[in-house]
Amino acid sequence: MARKNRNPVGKNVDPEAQKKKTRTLTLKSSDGQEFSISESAAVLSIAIENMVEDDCAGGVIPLPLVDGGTLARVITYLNKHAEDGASDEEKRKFDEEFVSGMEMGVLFDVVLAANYLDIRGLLREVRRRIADRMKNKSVEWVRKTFHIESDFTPEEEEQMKKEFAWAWEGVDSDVDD
Amino acid sequence: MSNYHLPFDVITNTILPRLAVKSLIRFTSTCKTWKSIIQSPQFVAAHLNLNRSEPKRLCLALNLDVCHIVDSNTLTELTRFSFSPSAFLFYHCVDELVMIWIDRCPYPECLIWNPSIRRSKTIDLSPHRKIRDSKFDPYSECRHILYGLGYDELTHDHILVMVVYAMFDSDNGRLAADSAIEVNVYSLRTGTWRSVSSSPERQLIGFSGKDSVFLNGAIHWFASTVVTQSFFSPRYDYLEAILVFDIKDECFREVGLSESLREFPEEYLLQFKELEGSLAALLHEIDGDGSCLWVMTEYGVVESWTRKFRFCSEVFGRYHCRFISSGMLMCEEIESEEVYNVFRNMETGQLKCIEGCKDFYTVADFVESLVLFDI
Repeated sequence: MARKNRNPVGKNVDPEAQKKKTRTLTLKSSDGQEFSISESAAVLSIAIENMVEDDCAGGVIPLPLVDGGTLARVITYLNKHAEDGASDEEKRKFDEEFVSGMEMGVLFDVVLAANYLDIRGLLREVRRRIADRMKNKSVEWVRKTFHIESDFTPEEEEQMKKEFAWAWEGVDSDVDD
Repeated sequence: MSNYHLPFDVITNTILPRLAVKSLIRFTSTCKTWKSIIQSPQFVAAHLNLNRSEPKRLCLALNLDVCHIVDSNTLTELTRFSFSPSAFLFYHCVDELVMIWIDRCPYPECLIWNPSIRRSKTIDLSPHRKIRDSKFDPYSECRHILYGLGYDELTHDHILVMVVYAMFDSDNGRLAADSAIEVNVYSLRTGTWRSVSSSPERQLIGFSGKDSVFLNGAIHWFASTVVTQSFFSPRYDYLEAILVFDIKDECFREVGLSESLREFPEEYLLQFKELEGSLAALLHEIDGDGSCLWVMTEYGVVESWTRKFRFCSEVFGRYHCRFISSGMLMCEEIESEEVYNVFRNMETGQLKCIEGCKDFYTVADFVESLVLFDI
């Protein structure tokens, strides 16, 4: 299917876009750390874009649901995606490396931040990574990771296992994260 | 993993819909809440829509007793399992379900099968019994029945459509011009049939025993205006038009064919499928050994039918070639008198086999889903 080119073709550089590149915003994490970021990178987050548009940003944008470590990661992502001249292939490679080394807890932090800040691309990437990591996990691993206690009787569990025995094949042993 | 609490709605809306079917089935035994979420019709629909919106990546390769699930791009087998309805006919209608007809006496049996969860549902053919008492007897020799499978976006339900044409002219064995038509639709979720009052404007007779295509909320069949009843199966005339049944308004429409397509007799139609949102047909050449892939590049615009690829048929059995959305065409090769299946890249012509499995009955695009898991 044809993909629409979202960049308008024209000789004149949009002065508004130019301004966004030079203007910087300050983001403040839940633990009080402050980060500078260009407006053009920050507005890749729909939530931040809305705050800027509503002009409720003032000088500093407080993000009470995101801690400093996570915000630093998110900013790395946003900067890469706002970078001039970064090709789609380069961004794709960056995305892959960006999430590949993250532990499950970090992935959860980032998924929450991406959800809250409404950064679609990052959310998609992190969700895919979490799904990959969970793919072959055991039920016990899921219970432990998500703090869930089983309310099935052993007989009920056995019954489900029997009915779809193939879904229990090839499950990882639970030693890693 | 340390102490980490994700909000419940993030788990259910963000994490779970991305998981593979096999993982989700296993994770239903996490706790009762997870089980009821994963098996809810809303979740099944959301998971299906998400998978449908991704680029097509999987295909099914079936032989008589094994189902292989294969990565369409690399042609590597991901999993296989045994699968054993004997003497069946397979129809590709939608990417997430397979319609299977098993020849039984006195009536055939129809199964809707979801290979992702390895479960099927037998369709209750009771309207046939009901109709038998009326002027329609679909299994009498003077009936013609057409089936197709589609999806109702509003109710998140799969719909089986049955069109019964009555009667053949007993003198010449042709479907009579004033033939009456009865249309019934079956809901996979409720397991019930109901009848629909609309019928095609003119006497277009859809090809039964061939694939139908579900696209833009409607079921599509290639159709002719003349059908002759022969001993084994109906014989159709030339490709005339595409008969369309819209699931939402339950009305019939027509999609036109270009003049060059209307020159093809029915038996030259090898495959009818959806390709990147367009109607596509694989046709054997009338005056040559090759086959051509025709695509209606703009839906509903007759002039947009375009011949995309041409393949020489020397290397493959004419009636056994089928293509999948990754641009691979399944065909047959013969080596030391043994016939085996290979895939040919339609653009580059490069041949490739699936490691370890060389004998298929058919191949089809496939989308993973939990459909039928909630029923």
